[in-house]
Parts: sequence; structure tokens; C-alpha cells
Amino acid sequence: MFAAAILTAASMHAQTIEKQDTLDTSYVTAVKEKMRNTTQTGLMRLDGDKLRSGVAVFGTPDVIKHLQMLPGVAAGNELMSGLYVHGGDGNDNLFLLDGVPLYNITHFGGFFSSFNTDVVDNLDFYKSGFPARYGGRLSSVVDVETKEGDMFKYHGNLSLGLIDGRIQLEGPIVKGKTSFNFGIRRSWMDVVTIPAIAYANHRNGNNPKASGGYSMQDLNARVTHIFSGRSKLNVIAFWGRDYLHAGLDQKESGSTMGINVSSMWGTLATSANWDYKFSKTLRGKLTGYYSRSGSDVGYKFDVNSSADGGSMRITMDDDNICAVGDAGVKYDFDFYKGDTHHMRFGASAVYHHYKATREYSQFRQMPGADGETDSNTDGNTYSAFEPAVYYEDEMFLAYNFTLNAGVRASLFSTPVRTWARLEPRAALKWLITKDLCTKLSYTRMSQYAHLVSAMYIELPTNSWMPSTIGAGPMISDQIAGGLYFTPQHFKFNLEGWYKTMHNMLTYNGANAFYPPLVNWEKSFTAGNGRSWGLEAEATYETPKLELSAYYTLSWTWREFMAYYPFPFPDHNDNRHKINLVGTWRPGKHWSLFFNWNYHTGNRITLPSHVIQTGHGLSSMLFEAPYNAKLPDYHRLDLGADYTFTNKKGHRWNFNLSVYNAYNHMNASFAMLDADANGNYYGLAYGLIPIIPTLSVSYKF
Amino acid sequence: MKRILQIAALLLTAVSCEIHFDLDNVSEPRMYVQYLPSPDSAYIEIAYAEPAFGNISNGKYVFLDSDLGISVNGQDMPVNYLSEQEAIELGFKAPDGGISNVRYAKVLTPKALMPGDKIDLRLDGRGVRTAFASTSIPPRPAISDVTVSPVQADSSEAFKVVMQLQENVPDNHYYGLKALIRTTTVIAHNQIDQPSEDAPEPLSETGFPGIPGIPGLPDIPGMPEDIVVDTLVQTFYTIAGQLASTADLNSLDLDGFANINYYNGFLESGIFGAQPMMLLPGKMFTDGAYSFYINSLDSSLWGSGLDFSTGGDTLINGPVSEDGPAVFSIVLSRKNEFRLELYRLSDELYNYCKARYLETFNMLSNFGVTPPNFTYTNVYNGLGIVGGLCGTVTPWYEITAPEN
Repeated sequence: MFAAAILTAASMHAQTIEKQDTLDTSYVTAVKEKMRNTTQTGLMRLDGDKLRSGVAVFGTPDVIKHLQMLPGVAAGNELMSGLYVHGGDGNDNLFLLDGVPLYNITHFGGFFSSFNTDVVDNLDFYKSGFPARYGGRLSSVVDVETKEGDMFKYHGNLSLGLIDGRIQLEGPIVKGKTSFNFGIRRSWMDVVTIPAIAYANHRNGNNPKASGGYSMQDLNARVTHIFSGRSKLNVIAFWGRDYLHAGLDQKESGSTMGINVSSMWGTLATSANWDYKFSKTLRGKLTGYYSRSGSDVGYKFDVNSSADGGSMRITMDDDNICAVGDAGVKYDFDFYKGDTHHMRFGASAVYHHYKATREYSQFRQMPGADGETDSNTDGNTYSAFEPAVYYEDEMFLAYNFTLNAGVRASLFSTPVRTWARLEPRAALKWLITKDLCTKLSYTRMSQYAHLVSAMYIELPTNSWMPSTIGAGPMISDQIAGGLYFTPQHFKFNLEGWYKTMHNMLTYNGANAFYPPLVNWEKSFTAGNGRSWGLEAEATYETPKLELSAYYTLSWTWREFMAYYPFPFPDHNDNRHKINLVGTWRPGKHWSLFFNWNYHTGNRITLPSHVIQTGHGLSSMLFEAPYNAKLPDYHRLDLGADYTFTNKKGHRWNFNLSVYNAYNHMNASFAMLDADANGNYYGLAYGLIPIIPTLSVSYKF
Repeated sequence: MKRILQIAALLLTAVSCEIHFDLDNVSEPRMYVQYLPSPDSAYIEIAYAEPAFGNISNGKYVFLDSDLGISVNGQDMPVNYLSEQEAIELGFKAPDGGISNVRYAKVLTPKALMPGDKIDLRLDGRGVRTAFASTSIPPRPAISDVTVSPVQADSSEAFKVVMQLQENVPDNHYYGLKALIRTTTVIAHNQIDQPSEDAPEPLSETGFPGIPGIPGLPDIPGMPEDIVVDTLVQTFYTIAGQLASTADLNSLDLDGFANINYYNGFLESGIFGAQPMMLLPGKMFTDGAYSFYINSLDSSLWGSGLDFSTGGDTLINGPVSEDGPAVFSIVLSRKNEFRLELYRLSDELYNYCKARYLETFNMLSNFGVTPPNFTYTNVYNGLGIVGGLCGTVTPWYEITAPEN
């Protein structure tokens, strides 16, 4: 009875506020609705237009590089598409493309993300307060939705950047019923490098003969069919691939030598979803999907030599194949009960298949002797079944309180063990005034998949593996809360979080491009992580001018007792982070952009102690991981768009972007050095200078 | 692949811009300890570790004094610092050149340490915090069987060795393995020069009574007439290679094959050629057995019986100048043997050895693209390792040349 009274009062209050909103301008209402409609903390919504505008590094707008500017997010190494959210590890972000989880979301070793902004409709980015409908990763959710094609008109967009070209087409297949949206992107560096190498070979007389090149490409396709006002079907596909190869062949007086390296990696994701409105209050979305991410990396080495004493031949062949495949089905429901409940519930079942193998063989034949082969095959395949159910209810309570409470239950079953996890989620919002609210959230997340990598960068030799007895699921608990104030044209957010992560893994083996495949978990050490901090955002938005300032104060610690017996700071323990972002549209043709990035330097490990061992020699000791801090990082990016529309109504856009406009060489790595007097100092190296790029796009 | 990484790192260094920066997090000076107590060793290496951060002048800190306390099962033990001469005689690196902040000591226990003994260390150094550490002597490993079979691998003669332990080997047991090859050669020769400086140590030379005449010698074509037949026995000890095939070493389980310089070598690796030891986590064993290859034998060692070689840098003969007398030698017999030394390592010693091993590879951590370097320590307020170990040694096993 009491609950009913609360809900009724809440409903009336909510309706009153909605009516008040209609008195404001539509723009301000939109901003406020964003804030009010979101119970979750740590949520940022970006639409496709926003992602496509601004500074484009190498002339290619990048989703992840947009997210890196947000508070609470560390970018990791410069230019990479790292995403370290609230002290996360970078491999604990759930990337969803039209509801399909993706494992590999970057091209070119992490320089670019796989999301083609031409086809992106919107993006939801959660750093905390995760709704129960999301699961499987610890630190963030990046939920990307592609655009449905126009049901009545054909449109297209052609773009050419410094390193790639893009084509996007959309239009009706059956007017008003069926549409398509298609985007393709391909780099064209190899178009330049292949003729250049051919010319160099020609000048060398094809001895030695070199070959090589790199290309990346991806394709997005979406077909939408509307059966009726209640029923809609989407068939969606994504395919991305990187191919890198290099070779050298040489002939010399009876001997030949050849070395070839090739690497191919990519992702295929296909899905079909059927959206059906059962009634005005109940809607369901049935999705089936299949995805596969994998890589094939190999090298061959062949030496053949003939001499008087006989022939000699040495060959080495190495092939490393990693893949993870998911086949899943899920059914998600939205149900409105009156004005006071918005319930979401659903179930999913996913079959995971993991494969990581490596074959190495060596053949050696010395003059006058028989040939000998030495070979080795490593690797394994794993499978797992992961069913999950969830329920969440957004309840409008009394006194302008809104509560989104939910729970997610999942199983992860492998042939050797089954884990069960229950993840409670709750987010509470109190709308204090029309423009002011406060929120509080608690979430628990589980992650069953581990990224097996000997490095912190995206390499095709990295592989995903399931939880095993030696490396169980990771768990995070996060509390977040904040104050959100949105007077006219402004938005002020202040948000804090405290997050713990358990059973994290850190690599504890030798440096190698090839991480271990068999007993991989033995090369990792389990431990815990903690992160806490404050984020502040101030935004001023009008149709002509947008200015945002983001500030993050944070701490991130790791604790791996078997690895190092004391807590130590994380690589991305950036104490302060400031981002200033601005857009100015002085006229109908011009848009000017800037963003300035600053953060406390990343942490590295340097020798901390020296022992003089006599004979003028010394021995260096490393007291603790990440015991030193690189110089602070700062960078200004500038951009300008010039847009005009021709008589046919087609739009040209020229974008000039300047990355690192004042050419500040930020430290990428460092070492310890000493001057002539024996004084030690840090010596860092900056790698990335100013990078201006021009890109052009034509929209019709 | 590691070479490629290093070349890539050098290239990046060449094209980049240098930025000098001050180091934060200035470290305190620490005492360094290396104490690997076992039933066979009672020596401690202690050192004064000066902070590298904070622009401290090199050599400003000098080892002044220390007070070392060792207790075994709660009972204090006397400790003697070694003199420089004693340290030299024991093979430790003596501080006879430049600044040295290293000292050596010996723990005087009434009897050899035993498995299960608990050792506590306390180290006071002037101007530094008092350091503490403790460890236990792990159980002595028991080898129940060793089988050797010849194989052909990597184009050289090799042997597959299977070492079977009596005990069950769980994953969290850690071992260190050394294999030593002893080659005993009986030689007849006309002149014994000084042994080559390149000859492996230790090299013993024992005079044998001369063998008066060897039947058949005059029938050897080209046999010099002025040969003076004398005999001696030379014994060479060599480390038995990488203890794994190349393919196994490429099996991605690199940490399982960590080959570290153990004993008298952590601070001096690469200087005095300390004895390498293969780190073996329990996961490397299958049903209590570990199999590996001894594959580094020089095929020239396999000659047996009468063998004739002349001049030059042969294995047996030292370098001879062009003007000097020709050196002739005849190998009368040659015997090859090997033995295994297996150590059970405490967890902390394994962690330390592995960390030191990884340091040699981990230059990429400075790029922020790999996990960091660090020196594992179980010394509270200090650096280094106090880690027990206990070893067992097999008899010498004779190995015969595989038949081609």
C-alpha cells in the first residue's frame, strides 16, 4: 500500500516535470532530458554526427579517440586506441556493435578502431552504473548502433583521408519497407608502397627482391525490413581485416635465401534481430548472432646453398593461429507498467569457441649429411557455454526519486568447471530541482574471457581464452555517485567512483610477441586492482558554440602478491587529466575545432638502486613496478571543416586536422641515464610530432 | 624475434627526440642481501644499494658498516665476514678495484642446515632501515631414475634425458636443474704447452706414467719421428647446453625454461660465467618426470681410441705460432660422463630468479607496452633474496657416442 502510494506520487511528479520542460527551448529540453532520463551514473551518449565531426587524426574520425577525451578514461600509449576506464586494464571493455560483442576492435596494431563512423547512428558509453542488460566485462560498455538505411531516398558519402578512403551508401530496396545501409573503408598505403617497392627492386635487378605491404579494410552492411508498424527485421554484418606482409629473397652464387612474414587478422560479426511490439507497453527484440575474431601470423625462412661439398639447406616455418568464435541468441524485452515502471528483462545463451595453436618446424641439412627436422606443435581449443538472464526495473518513486534496480545471473560452463555469478545492479537518482539532480549507483560485473597477451598493445598474436581452473572469472564492484546541474546552455557534472577489481591477471613471463598457448594461465599471476577518483565536467552548448572542460582526479593501484608483495601503481595511474574541447561554427560554411589534452605522465619502471660491485662495475636493481613517472603529457589538436552545398544539393566537406599542433614531443618511453658526474636522470624519448592531415568528403 | 624487438627499439630510439626529466619517488638507500641457505652453502652476500633516483652522485654512498644477525629455528648463529683474500679463494668477486659496496659473510652453524629449518635474517646497515627476511629449507628432491637415450636433433649428437622423481610434483613446486658434462681424455703427445686460456674451468692436469711404446704407431702415415710420447689425463667440465631442444625453447613457455645464473652470479652475471641453472616450475613435469635434451656436445669430443690431430687450435692443443714447434697429440681414450644437480627452490627464490631472468629481456617495458621490470624481493625494508634451496646430485653417468 505504501509502495503504491509512493509510486503514484512519483508518477504525478514526473509528469509535472515533463510538462514544465515543454516551456523551454527544444535544445535545452534535449539536454535536460538526457540528464533526467538517465538514472545511470557514468553514462555518455554520443550521436553519429558528433563522432563524425571534429579533429580527425590521419583524416579518419575515430570513435575510441573521442572516448579517450572523456573524464575517467585513460588513453594509454600515444596514438593507440587504448581505453582504460576507471582503472581498468583495457581488455575489460564490452564493445557491442548492434548488440554483438566484439573482441578485436582495432586496426593497425591499435592505431584505429574498427568502428566506421560513416555508419554509426549513436553510441552509449557506460563507465559505471551498468544496467543489468549488460554483462561480461568489468570496466565499461561501448554500445554502438549503426544507422538504418533511408527508406525513401538514396544517399551516399565518399571520403578520402590521409591513409584511407570510405564509401557509404544507403537507400530503399523496397520503398517504405526495406532499406540498406552499406559502408566500406580501406586503407590505401599499399597502393603507394607496392609500386615503390617494385621500383626499388627494379633498380636492384630484383636481387635482393623485397616485397611487402599493409592494408586494412572493413565493411558494414545493414538491411532493414519493416513488416508493419509493430514488426521490424534487421540483418547486420560487419567484416574487418588487416593484412601485413613482408619478404626478402636473395640469390648469390649458388645460394638462395628467402624470408617471408605475413600476418592477417580480423573480425566477422553477423546478426539478425527481429523487433516486435506486442502491445503499447511490451516490446521484444530477438537477436541471433555469430562472430569470429582471429589472426594468422607466420614467418618462413629458407636458406639453400650449394657448394663443392654438397648442398646445405635450412628452413624454419612458424605459424600462429588464434581465434575466438561466438554463436549466440538473446531475447530482450521492454515493458512499461503504467507511468511508474519501465522493466527490462531478457535471456541469452552464447556458445564460445576458443582456438590458439602454433606450429614450429625447422629443417636443417648440412653438406654431406642427412636432413633433420625439429618440430613442435603447441596449442589447444576450448569451448564454453554461457547462459544469462537479467531483470531491471526503472521505478519512479516519491519525491522525484528514480531507482533502477536489477540483477544479472550468468553461468559459464566449460568441460572442466562451471562458474555461476549473480550480479546486483542499482542506480538511484534524485531530481532535486528541474535542473539539478544527484545519482548514486552500485554495480557488480563479471568477466569470463581473458586476453592472453605478453604486451599491452594490440597484436595479432594476442588471443582470448576462457576462464579456467587456474584463471577464474574476474569480478569488479563499483560505487559511483554524482551531482548534475544543467542551467540553460550549461551542464555541470561532478561524479566520483570507487572500484575494486578481483582476480585480474597480469603477465609474468618473458617478453615475446607470442604469448603462451598451452597452460597459458601459468604465465599469468592473479591479483586485485583498485581505482577511485573524481570527474568534473563543465559544458556550454549553443548551436554556434560548444565548449567542454573535463577534469579527472584519480588513483589506480594493483596488488599481485605473487608477483610483487606490495601494492603498486598502475601504468595508467594518471593523477590529473584535463581535456578542453571546443567547436565554433562562425558561419554556415565553417566549423572550427580544438581539443587540448593534458594528463600526468604514465608510469614506467626504472632501476631504482645501484650497487657498486667493484672493478668500476655496477648492478642495477628495480625496487618496485612502475616506480617512476614520465613527464606530463599535453597536446593540442586543431581542426577546421569547410562545407558547402552545390546546386544539386550535394555537400562537400574539407577537413584540415592538425594533431599535436604545437609539436610537443610527448614521452613515449624512458630509461635511466647518468651524466659524466654520475648523476642519474630520466631520459625519455618522444616519437610523435605534429601531424597535419587533409581529408575530403562528398555527400550526396 | 627478440633480436627484431631490439632492432626495432634501437630504430625508434634513433628517430626520436630526447627529453630529460627529473625522477620522482626518490628511493631510500637499501641493504641488498643474497642469502641462499642450503645444506651445502652458508655464505651471504650483502651490499649497499644506493638510490639511483634523485641525482645522487655516483659513489657518494659507500658501504660503511653492517650488523648481520642470522637465526636458525629461533637460535642465533655466529656470522663471520670474509676477508678479501678469503672471498677470492672462495671464488667470490673480490672488491679489489674501484668502489665496491659488496661484502661476503659466512654463517657458522654447528651442523649443516636441514630441510624444514627456518632461517631468519636481520641486517642493520648504517644510515639505512633495518632489513628483515625469512625462509625455510625446502625438502631435498629425490631422483629415482635417470634414463639416457641418443637422439638426432639440431644436426648435432644429442641425448634425451628423462629424470624421474620419487615425489609427486604439483605445479607450485619449483626446481632448478644443472647438468654438467665431464670429459676425461688420456693423451699421448710430444709437448705440453700451457693450457689454452679458453679452456673451461676447472681443468686438472695429472701426470701419468709414460706408456713405453704404443704398438702400431710407426704404421701411421705421416707420423713424425720426433714424437715424444708422454701421457696425461685432462678433464673438462662443461655445462650441458640449454637442456631443451630449439623447438621446445620456441614452445612459448619461456618462463618454464628460464636459464639463470645461479650462485655467486646474481650481481655479476656475465662477468665470471656463473653456472647457469634451468628454472623448472612443477608444470614442466609430467607424472613426476622431466625430460630434456643435452644437445650442446661438440662432436669433436666423441673421438675415442687412437685419434691423430696436428697443430692449430684443436680442443686439446693450445695455439701454436707458425714459428714454433709443431704440436702432436694422440688421444688414447676419451670418456664422456654427465651428472645432474637438481635443487628444490623455495617459492621466494624461484620468484627472485625468474624476476632477474626476465630483467634481461624486458627492455620493452620502458615503452609501456609490456609488463614492468622489477626485482622481486622478500627482504622487508631491503632488496635481494633470502631463499632456501636444497639439492641432490646424481652419480656420473657415462654416455657413449651415438652410432651414425
